[in-house]
Amino acid sequence: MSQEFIILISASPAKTQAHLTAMRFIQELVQQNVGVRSVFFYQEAVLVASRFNSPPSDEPQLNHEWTKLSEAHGFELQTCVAASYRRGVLDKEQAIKQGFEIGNLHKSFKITGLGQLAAAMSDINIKFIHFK
Amino acid sequence: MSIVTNILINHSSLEGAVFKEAVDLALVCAAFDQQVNLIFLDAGINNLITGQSASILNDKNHVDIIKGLEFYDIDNVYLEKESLDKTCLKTEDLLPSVQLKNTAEINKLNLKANHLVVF
Repeated sequence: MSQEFIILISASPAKTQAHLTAMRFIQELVQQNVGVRSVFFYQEAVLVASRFNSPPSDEPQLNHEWTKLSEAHGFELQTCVAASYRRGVLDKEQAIKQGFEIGNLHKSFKITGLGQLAAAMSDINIKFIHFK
Repeated sequence: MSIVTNILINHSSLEGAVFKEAVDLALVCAAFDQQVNLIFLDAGINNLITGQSASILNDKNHVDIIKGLEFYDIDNVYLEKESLDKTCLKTEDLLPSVQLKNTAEINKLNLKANHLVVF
């Protein structure tokens, strides 16, 4: 694929349509044979990475939808470490360090630093789009 | 050729972690040798008022970090003139290191940037 996108999402999964809009955007990119390198969740958007999210069954199950999309098209779902910990989205290691028995990070998401996003943005060949 | 990233802040530091996280991204982008333009507009200009005391609210004074941005290679910190004109604030009330630009000048900066992130 000649062109690749990195997607930044900063909007809360419960307050806006941003996650659904971003998913539709990605599906369109894939249809046009444009690649997605990764999706980076920042600010309130990291809340989608909690495996304890339990919306009513007739509403979109966002972390499940993100999982399907990332597995189908081979891109990583990355969440910012500081934004995640600030909002109580913890991997097992951090949860135990903080005295909790279990972590709540969904298995499809990976906690990374802002440097991962900045490094991708520094690539002249990458296209960047922000959903908020 | 250096990547240019414009980060626009239109929230005050009292609106949750938005301001802090916007500045965090600016610092990391600068660390990756991007040219960062940090642009304050609308409620974001409240971040630039000098003499704020967040300790009254039992909060941390995140605004202090703006004073040290040049040490992290962020030299371009701008304030939208039209946003300032909508308030009772004067430039003397704000941090002196910030440059005033009108909307047209900011739009030009945005058009030239590789990336635009709005917080």
